[in-house]
Amino acid sequence: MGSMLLESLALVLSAKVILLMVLGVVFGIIFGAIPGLTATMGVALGLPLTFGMTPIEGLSLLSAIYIGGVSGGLISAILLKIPGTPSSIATTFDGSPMAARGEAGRALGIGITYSFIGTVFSLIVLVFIAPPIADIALKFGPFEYFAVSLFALTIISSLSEGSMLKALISGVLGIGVTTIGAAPIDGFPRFTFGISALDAGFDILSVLIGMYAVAEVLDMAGDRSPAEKVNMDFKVKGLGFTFKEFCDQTVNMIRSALIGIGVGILPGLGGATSNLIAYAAAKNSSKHPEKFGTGIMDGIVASETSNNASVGGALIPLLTLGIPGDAVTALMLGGFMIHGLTPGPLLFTNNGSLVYGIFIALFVSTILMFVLEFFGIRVFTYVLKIPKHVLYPVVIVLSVIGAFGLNNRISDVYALLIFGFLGYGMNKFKYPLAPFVLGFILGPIIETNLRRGLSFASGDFMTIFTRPISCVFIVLTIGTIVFQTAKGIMSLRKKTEA
Amino acid sequence: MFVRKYGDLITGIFFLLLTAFYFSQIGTIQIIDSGSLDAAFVPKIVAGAMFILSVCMIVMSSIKIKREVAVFSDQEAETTPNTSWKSIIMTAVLLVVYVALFQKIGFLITTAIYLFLQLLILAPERKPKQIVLFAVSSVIGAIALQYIFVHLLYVMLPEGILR
Repeated sequence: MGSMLLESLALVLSAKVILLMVLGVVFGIIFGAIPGLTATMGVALGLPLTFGMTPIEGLSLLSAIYIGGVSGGLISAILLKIPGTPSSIATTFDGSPMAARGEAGRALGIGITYSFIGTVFSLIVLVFIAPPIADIALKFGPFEYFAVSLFALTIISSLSEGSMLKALISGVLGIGVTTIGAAPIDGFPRFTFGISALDAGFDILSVLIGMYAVAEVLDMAGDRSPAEKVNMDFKVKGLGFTFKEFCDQTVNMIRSALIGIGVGILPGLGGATSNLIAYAAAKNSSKHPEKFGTGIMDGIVASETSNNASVGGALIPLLTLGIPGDAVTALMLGGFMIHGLTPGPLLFTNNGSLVYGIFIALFVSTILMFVLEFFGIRVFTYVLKIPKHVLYPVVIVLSVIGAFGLNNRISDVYALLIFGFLGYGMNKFKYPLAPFVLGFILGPIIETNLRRGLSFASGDFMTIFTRPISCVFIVLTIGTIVFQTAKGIMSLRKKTEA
Repeated sequence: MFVRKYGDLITGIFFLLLTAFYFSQIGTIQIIDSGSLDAAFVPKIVAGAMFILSVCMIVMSSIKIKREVAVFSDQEAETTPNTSWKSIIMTAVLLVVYVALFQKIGFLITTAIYLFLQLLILAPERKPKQIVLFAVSSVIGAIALQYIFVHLLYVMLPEGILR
């Protein structure tokens, strides 16, 4: 362990890697801060940058973009009154009234500090929880992977916002797309129509970059709203709060961090959901709930601690099981694959120093995020003034470079466009993208492991119930489906009665 | 407003048609009897689930349309979204052309032209001075991106006719 840690330190703490992390954090904060650009898009466009790098350089850069991206949203939430990413929606509730009172500097100070605390908290949990989970996961066979992934898939339907039917269609569509190309196990072509470019199916990265970058640009291309006004009239003095205020927030901070980590671990959810849940929890348990929304510290603390804490949470299933829970972690998975690495329990045994290297990179990125946001806040506010029509064409070109650079083939770029258009259409008709992405990620894992497991068990499906872990997850899956159906029927009945 | 009123019905019908086509193609999948699940198993599940879900979508949206006719016509006037369809369609066409020519003509030339035209489509104003600025910055931008990716980050990009 000790020698491995030293080895990892040597890997990460080189001038080149640190420089890459500084660039990554800045890149991430910019993507997080500018409304319309998201942390997911930042990581997507960061991928092509890593093609020629070593694994640790590339993964440190992507981690830095991720950390910076989730935090950057607070800048616009406070100064523009618009969340820069969905992760900072709740930050606007109290951040912008505080800024409107002339205390933008204080709001930023609180936001940045608790972003830092939330991330550090979740990373500590990640470092301590991931290795034991990986140990358990080493014993996983195909049925366990099947059961865990199936459970993950049912979660999306239960937790997606808006129409459940649309979420389900979106999820099944995602699985359907993965059936295009060679089938797992036997390799027979499916739905390829003799087009050889389809034999390998769609590359996950062209799908994700298309859905999260190209679709977004198309959406904004039609937006003719005038540019937002940036509040430049603020001063950052110290952290923005006193030691007593910090002590008063302890419970709120810990609760929000735990919510963030918990939500982050769950598939399909991340900072975008946790900030709202933590805000609601803080308000409900507060002695002065009526003050929420008027610009109090509690609201910013809840939102910013929890959304950043989701980062560490989301990385747990990715690193230990190789199962990404959302688009950003799926992109991170892509980052691993580009460098010939497969996340999962074996990564801890085979590439231990790399895993610890990533942990260190995450911590260093968090410190860099704090320092850069705190001292560079003026610079980032100027970035908010860059007109959209200049940014979007560059986003498209970077997406095209990213898709082409994956395998040096133009068919990936066509896939990028197809999924960009599909994502745009789904946005317009209010079909959520997250279930599609989850279906796309989990579909092949479920199919491969089910078929592999069944051929080991000579076609006997009941074997799945004889293995404790797979049995528990199958029961949980059935439970979730029954619970959701019952809930759906009840709400339908209430509606018809009303 | 059309999208809001009929969007669910249209997408429901679209998904039903898509499922029908998908289902019709399942028969072409080659299968071997291995005593376990074959390559057509998951596609069959997907087709079945999609069929049920899209029928639900069509039924529920039809009921909703009937019920909410009055409500919709009331709301129609108050929400006029600030959407420019012209620039969305032009952007989409431009993207397709850009990608179609990307490999043949090469990254540098297509990107410079793409950046210029995309800036023209998205810019709120198009004064002569700005057009010149767009042209110059597009060329510089394309050259800079080519240099960064090819020489600093070792990403292969198509050279096209400049080879």
